[in-house]
Amino acid sequence: MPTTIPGASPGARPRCTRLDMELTGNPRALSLVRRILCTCALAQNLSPQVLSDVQLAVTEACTNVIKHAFRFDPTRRFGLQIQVTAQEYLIRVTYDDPQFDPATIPIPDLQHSREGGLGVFLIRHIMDEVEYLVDAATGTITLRMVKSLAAPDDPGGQGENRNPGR
Amino acid sequence: MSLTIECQEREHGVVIVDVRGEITFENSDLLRDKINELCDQHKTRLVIDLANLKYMSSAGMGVLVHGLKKTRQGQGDLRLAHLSPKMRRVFLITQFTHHFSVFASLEEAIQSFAVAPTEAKPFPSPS
Repeated sequence: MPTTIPGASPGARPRCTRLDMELTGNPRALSLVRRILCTCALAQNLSPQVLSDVQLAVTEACTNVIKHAFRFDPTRRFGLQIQVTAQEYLIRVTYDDPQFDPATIPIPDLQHSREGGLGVFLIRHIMDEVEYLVDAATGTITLRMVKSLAAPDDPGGQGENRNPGR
Repeated sequence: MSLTIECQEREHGVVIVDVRGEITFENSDLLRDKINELCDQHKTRLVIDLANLKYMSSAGMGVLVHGLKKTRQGQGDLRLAHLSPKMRRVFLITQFTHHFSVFASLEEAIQSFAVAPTEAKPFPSPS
């Protein structure tokens, strides 16, 4: 039986929700973003598992931008776009970082767990599609993440990691 | 949402570290500092109570790894109680369940130190 967020009304998911946000290098807004994601999930009748995964993926992605690309510079800005349809939860994080090379992201050695480096690893495991799009001309990076959504009445569907082997 | 940390000493030299709110990279140093402070006082038998933790990012998980290493260096251990299902899933993905001892209740976690005062699960050192 599919679980739903307490307070969510049963029934069909709204056709589409789209949010565009502009964030800065100040990390204090991330808690607010998680609350916005929660509100969005309620409106879309999404499962707690989907909400939890999306909150974690967005937080880790934005944290990486703020910490590694912007080095906490509050004057720099980046985009966070969320689009939820009946089929998928799409997240785009867009920012400028001419130095960034996705191929250099280290893979953590889980047998010898380190204190850092888990963010991208977690994102790749909890989301169904993850890709970095690099505009070499401008240095603009777009991190595109997709969580596939089953129909609300699909038992065991929503929130299941459909690619656990990654 | 902020992070609050309260400590309580219990039997067998165990300190319960009750964390409430959210652990993110903004505030994870609060927990790191608290763990360091306890270890500096030779209090290395720690149980992190996660019952009232609403959210933890990878930064928080990093602090738990730090705490695990730090307490074991002091012949103790860091154990977890009340791991929520969503956190358990993340722990499984990252294989943290191989390294941390996790208990359903505080009492079980405290009693575990009477049986196995030091590390209950191995944490291999980097080769």
